[in-house]
Amino acid sequence: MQTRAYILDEPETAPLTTLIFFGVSIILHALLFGIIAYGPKIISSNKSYSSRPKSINVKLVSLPGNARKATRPARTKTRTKKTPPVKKKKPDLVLNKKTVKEKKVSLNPVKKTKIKKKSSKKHETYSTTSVVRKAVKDIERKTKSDRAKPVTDAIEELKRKMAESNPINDIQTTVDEQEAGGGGGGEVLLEALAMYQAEIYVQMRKNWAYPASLSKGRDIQVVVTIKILPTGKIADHWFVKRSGEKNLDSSAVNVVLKSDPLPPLPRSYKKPFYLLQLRFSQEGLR
Amino acid sequence: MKKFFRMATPIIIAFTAFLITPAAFAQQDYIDFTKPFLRKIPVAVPYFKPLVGEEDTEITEKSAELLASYIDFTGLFEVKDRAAYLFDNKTGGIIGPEIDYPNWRAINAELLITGGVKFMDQTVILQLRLFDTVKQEFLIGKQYSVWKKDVKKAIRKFSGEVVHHLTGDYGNFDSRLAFISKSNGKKEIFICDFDGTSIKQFTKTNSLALNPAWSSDSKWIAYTSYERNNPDLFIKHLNGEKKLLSSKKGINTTPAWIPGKFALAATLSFSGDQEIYLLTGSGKIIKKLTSKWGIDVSPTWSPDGKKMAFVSNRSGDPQIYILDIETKRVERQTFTGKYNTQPAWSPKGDKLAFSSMDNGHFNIYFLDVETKKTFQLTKEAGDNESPTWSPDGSLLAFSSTREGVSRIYVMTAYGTDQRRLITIPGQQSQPSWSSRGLK
Repeated sequence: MQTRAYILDEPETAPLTTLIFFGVSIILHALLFGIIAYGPKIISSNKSYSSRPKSINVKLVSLPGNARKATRPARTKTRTKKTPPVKKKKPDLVLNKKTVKEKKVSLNPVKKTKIKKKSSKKHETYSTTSVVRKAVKDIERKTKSDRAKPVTDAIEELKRKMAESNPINDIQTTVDEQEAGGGGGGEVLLEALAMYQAEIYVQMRKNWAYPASLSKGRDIQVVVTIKILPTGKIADHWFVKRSGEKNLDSSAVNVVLKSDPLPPLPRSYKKPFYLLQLRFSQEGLR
Repeated sequence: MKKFFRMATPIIIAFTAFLITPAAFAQQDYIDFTKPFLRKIPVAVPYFKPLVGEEDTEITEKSAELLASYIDFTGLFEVKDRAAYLFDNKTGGIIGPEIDYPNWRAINAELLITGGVKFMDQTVILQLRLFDTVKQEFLIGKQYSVWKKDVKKAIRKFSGEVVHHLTGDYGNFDSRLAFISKSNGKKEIFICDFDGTSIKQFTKTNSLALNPAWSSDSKWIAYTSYERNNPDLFIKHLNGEKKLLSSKKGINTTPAWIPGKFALAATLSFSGDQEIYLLTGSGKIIKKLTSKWGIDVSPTWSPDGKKMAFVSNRSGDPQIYILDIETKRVERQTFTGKYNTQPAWSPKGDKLAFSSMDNGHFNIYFLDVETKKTFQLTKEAGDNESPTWSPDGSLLAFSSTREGVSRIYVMTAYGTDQRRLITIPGQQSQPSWSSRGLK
């Protein structure tokens, strides 16, 4: 990694160095401000604002419902699965000094829209000025999501409490609280989506019928991507991975068909559709 | 400046990578479903529609109920309550284009079985169809032209088709069970259909009959009987023909037919020691299969007939061993527990079910023949013994004292859906499931 970086630097030009220096400076400043602004929240042990590094998906699987036990193994799964894509990212960044947006590409090879971005970005981002600019943007974005976190965690905490008190809790209430509390604008999007996922999880789960004995004791998984329109209509679905057991595949499609239409997408979600992967796994019986 | 930059480069990289990580995670939106909410496929089986001739509700209604009970028996389906159906069997649609799928989806049925019946003089023409109500697909359709009294056979055949659609196997609908039932102090062998109905007494020894074992063509039952005041081996054909197989000195017991052959293994003790012998269907000894001092009993064959599992106390306690017929190698299979008996080799060959005593109670386990791992199937429900596999390997019948006296129960191969199979008075034990293909 480093060797390459040195080679790139060799044709040294004064303006370029300066620019990069400023870039670094901005990043470090932003970090510092970020820590000052949000540090207290992280440190504070206040339940509703404790910030643990969690992703949306992790929260999802910790949803209430009578499968509380079942969701626990999924949590670990999610984590392990996420790590590999990140590793892949690093080389990209070093070699091409490319910017953040490119990450999306390898992270989510399934999603067509993101793949498109990859090809165009290569050209756009060649100049170092834009590298810096984008780095700054990223920091901004990052700080936003940082701010969002305590909120989502708070929601998560609420949800868990409700789950403990009442296993069949009303997700809708939680959503309302969230909407009222969240300041509006882009930063709410992540939580809105998380809540949306939570809602449709409950709706879809009820529709999943599969006799375990059909898996013949194997660990099998089927992955289906659904395309959700703003109205909540499922415009399309396709297999990302088949399980090799036709009944499990069929049961997954049944869940999609039975759950259509879903609730409308959150208003803060501005894209024309939302792609979501559904992963159905039947663990080996023992 | 340059130096600083060089030093800073890795830091920038590290920071950038660090910063993007959470954002990157957020991009990957998915939901994990780790356990099915419903463990059975919801299916609707409305009454059959009379198409031609005078309706006989014995067929349009009772046969539909029978079909529902057959597919329910597999443990794969949940038959939705007929009272909820938005369907009138006199007018409702039973063929693809006429079917009101939303109505069936409204009651959460994922599958639908419709029937149409044409009533002739002595016969009926039965049209049965399976639909996927979610994907709105026609899956299977069969027409059976049968005598009125044989409608049950058609129902079984179609139940087999439905199961085959899911599992690739026609199920157990044409199989039977033999079992021991005790009444008036006598133990006799009885036979019933796969679902515990049509129970008939098979032997009239007036003494004690034990260890029934079906031949692989399901036409003969070998068993031990004390009718000559000694445990002797008999075989009896379903048509009533009975032969004495072995009445040597000492015990003649625990017969097990070799798959596909008219020959069987059994334990004989004429030599003074219990050993397992291979016998022809007429009772001649082909060879001695075990030769170790002590008890060797309860043989069961691998489906290819190349291996035989049995119980031996050669290590001190009764444990299960496998003998390779060709190499004569004997390998111990069970190591946990001090009392493992009654092995039953699964029809697919991958598992050995057996009963094991622990804390004073017998329970049913299976051993994965490949990995040697054991799994417990029954627990905390009296004594559970004598496991026997259904011909498709999806179910196990066994005896249990969970409700007091010993009775015959059935469960899936994974221990779920345990229910009583035979509901006659008295005490029942030692079930033996036939292979398929009866009549």
